[in-house]
Amino acid sequence: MTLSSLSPNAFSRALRQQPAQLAVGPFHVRLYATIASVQQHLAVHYGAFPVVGDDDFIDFDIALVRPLSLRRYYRAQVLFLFEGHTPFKPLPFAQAAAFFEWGLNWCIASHAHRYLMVHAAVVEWQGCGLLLAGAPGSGKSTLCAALVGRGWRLLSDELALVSLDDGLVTPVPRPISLKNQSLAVIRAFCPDAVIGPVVYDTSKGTVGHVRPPDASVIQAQVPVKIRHIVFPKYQAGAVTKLSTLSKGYGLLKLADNSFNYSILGVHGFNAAGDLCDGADCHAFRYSQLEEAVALFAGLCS
Amino acid sequence: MALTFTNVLVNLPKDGSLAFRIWQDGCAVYHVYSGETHWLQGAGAIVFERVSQHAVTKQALHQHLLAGGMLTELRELDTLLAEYQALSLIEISPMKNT
Repeated sequence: MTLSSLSPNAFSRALRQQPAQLAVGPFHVRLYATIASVQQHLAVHYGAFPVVGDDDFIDFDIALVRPLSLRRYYRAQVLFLFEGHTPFKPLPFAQAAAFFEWGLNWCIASHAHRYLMVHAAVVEWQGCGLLLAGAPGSGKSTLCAALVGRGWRLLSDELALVSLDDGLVTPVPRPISLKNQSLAVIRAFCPDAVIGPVVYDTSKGTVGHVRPPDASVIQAQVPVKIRHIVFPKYQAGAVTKLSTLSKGYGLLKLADNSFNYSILGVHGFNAAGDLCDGADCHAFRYSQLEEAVALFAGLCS
Repeated sequence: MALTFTNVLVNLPKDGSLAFRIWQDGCAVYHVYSGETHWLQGAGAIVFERVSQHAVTKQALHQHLLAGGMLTELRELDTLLAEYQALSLIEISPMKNT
């Protein structure tokens, strides 16, 4: 059963009475979502996600709630609770849905140390895995959304989960987070993309999320081998250019962009080394999405 | 008769403190205790690759580098070895000549 198999009324009523329990990639998430904007976020973005039964183990127990203070009403805020604790300061109430996504990122990045976790988007085309790693602002989410809009499978937007056992990337398809000008760029590039309500004035600027394709969510149990590791950089007016990087430099950049490379120690080094062993490493500069998508289609065909 | 040391033997640490990958254009080396990852290229990569195969004398390393046109002066190799020793990437032990 998936969330979308519930009628909208039943969905909202159910979430008022009991938490949503979802399989998000390899993780089971229990979410208490009594706030309407969070319910709407789930309805828009998580409809195809499998529902987890009451007897299943829950990895992350999350709630988004109004605080029990004046800020419940006056300049209202929202709290993110993980296992009953509040790891973050409250945010403005209007940011509740985005807070769920950011908080879930934190849950995964803080706990899933059976993987090497890289700050990267991962997409796949005809069995060819493409890992797009980079710091915020590098343009990797925009590129990811563009590729997914043209039929690539989405495995990850923020967190690449690299197995320590076999080096394959485990999918964790979730809404793609777009910021500021990227929202208009993707609306124009992929008119069919479903973008949920936009949130303004966050610490990251204006934020919106693109619904992950149902086909990607359905294939969330199918891992992929990475063939190309790409460090993209969006630069206004730049000519599309893909440059080969040495595997060693690729490994160092993966380590720099990893959440837990130092925690994993030699296992992290070996996982990053395996990844580089089996893939080509590239630097990529771009400004035109059409050219970028065509280039990667050629690379993977 | 006094002992003199005219050569040294260069080896990897025997305590299993290193993990490494040797690629065509360099060596990535991870030091377990410091948690540092090093990317060695050029003469440094050639030295590390050679030493990773088996213990080797400094003179043999110098000959190997000269043959590859990488270093010409023995003191350059001394500097490199001292740097790697400081990073615990290699161990250097004296060879006894009597």
